[in-house]
Amino acid sequence: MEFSILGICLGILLLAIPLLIMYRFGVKFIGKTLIVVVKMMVITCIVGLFLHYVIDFNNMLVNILFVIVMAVTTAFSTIVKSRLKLRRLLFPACAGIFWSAIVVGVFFVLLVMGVKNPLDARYLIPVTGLLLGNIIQTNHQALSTYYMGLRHHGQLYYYLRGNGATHNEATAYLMRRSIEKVAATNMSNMPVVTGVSTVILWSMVIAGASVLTAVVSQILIIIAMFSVSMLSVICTLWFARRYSIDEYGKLKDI
Amino acid sequence: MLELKNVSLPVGEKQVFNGLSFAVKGGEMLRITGASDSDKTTLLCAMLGFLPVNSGYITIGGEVVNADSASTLRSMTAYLPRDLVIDTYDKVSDMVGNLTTLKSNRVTEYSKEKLMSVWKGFGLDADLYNKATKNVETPLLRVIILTVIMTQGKPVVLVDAPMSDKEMNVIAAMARRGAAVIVAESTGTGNENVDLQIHLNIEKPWSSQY
Repeated sequence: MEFSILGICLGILLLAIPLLIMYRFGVKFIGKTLIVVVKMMVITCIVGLFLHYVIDFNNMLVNILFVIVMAVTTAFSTIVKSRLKLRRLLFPACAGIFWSAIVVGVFFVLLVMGVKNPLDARYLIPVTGLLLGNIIQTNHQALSTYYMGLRHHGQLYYYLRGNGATHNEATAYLMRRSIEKVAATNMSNMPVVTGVSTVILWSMVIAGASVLTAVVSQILIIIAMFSVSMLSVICTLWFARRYSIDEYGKLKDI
Repeated sequence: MLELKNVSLPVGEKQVFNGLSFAVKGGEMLRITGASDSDKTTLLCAMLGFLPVNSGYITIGGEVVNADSASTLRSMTAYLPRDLVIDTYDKVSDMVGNLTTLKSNRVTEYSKEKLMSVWKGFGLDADLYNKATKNVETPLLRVIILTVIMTQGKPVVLVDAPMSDKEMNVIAAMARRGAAVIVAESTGTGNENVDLQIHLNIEKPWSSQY
């Protein structure tokens, strides 16, 4: 599938619709909208440029490095959205998100898609990119639930620990709530036939894949996204443990 | 038994409890009183090993409380903090179950019948067990927690800011049954049932009377 210059220009011209509507109704952030759209185009082009060379080069280490960069960006966005301390949680979030994305991503590429080399850039990077995109959407709520819960229910934590509970026992109810949040968010997105969650289905059909392939891909990637969101919350909280409590079991300020 | 020897604690940038020493044996009750900002809760936290000491040491059952031993020693302690919010449990039975099913508490076999007989002794209605926690007042929930702790027979019990006479009755009963009990409150109601008393003065780090 190729786009002509005219096609690209006409596609960008579609922006006129929201801009005219905002202008007509006196919505005062046309300027902001334009800035954001230009930003989106620039960032996408830069990412695309990198992706073009990474896929062409197709070196295993470079591919993994690209996934690491994506994981760092995901972790950053997740922590900022959850309004937690970046300094304390960035490293454990990166570790948790990277490992869950790589494990599920490699599994998906190797065993589900049947690609012989699971670290091939053409498959690994788009798959992990999709998985990481879902993590941003779902996990900030889970992390916020967990750490805000620790902050506001600190007495309950100390009560349980003072009665002999381990850290895992004392935080089990918060873990449960965080996982509920991830599950609820994923479940609310799943049955939606229109919208962002079905982008794979529509994109593949446009790109020329058979409808059956597109449907199967959509279903399987949604399942993979669900798995990776759950796994990344657990991994992040596990890695973050030493950053959130001190050696005496006292909660740090997060 | 719980003992403090020449303990001083760092609290932020200041040092509190310069050289505090006392011992509470099984069967004794220590009352710690003081104004609201006299670091009573800080002292309890240090006894539980949540805070390091600047000097001296704290022992529970003869073992020094430090970062390595605190988790293990807390299997011998029971703690009821001030301002405990219990909205994470739907029912009283869930609250009881959460405490009795902790790994360290499974050493003592939990029996609902035993708990009900303790409740009968303190005039608590057996129907409370299946009640929603939101329908039970906080002072009564604290009493229920203490009755559960009583059935576990922990050797060291720390209670911060008891809210009712009933709570004090349960605490006194635990001391009579052989636990070393420490109670922290803003004002002491009297010296009955208390073997030791420490008053924390904000100007002087501590003063004690026995």
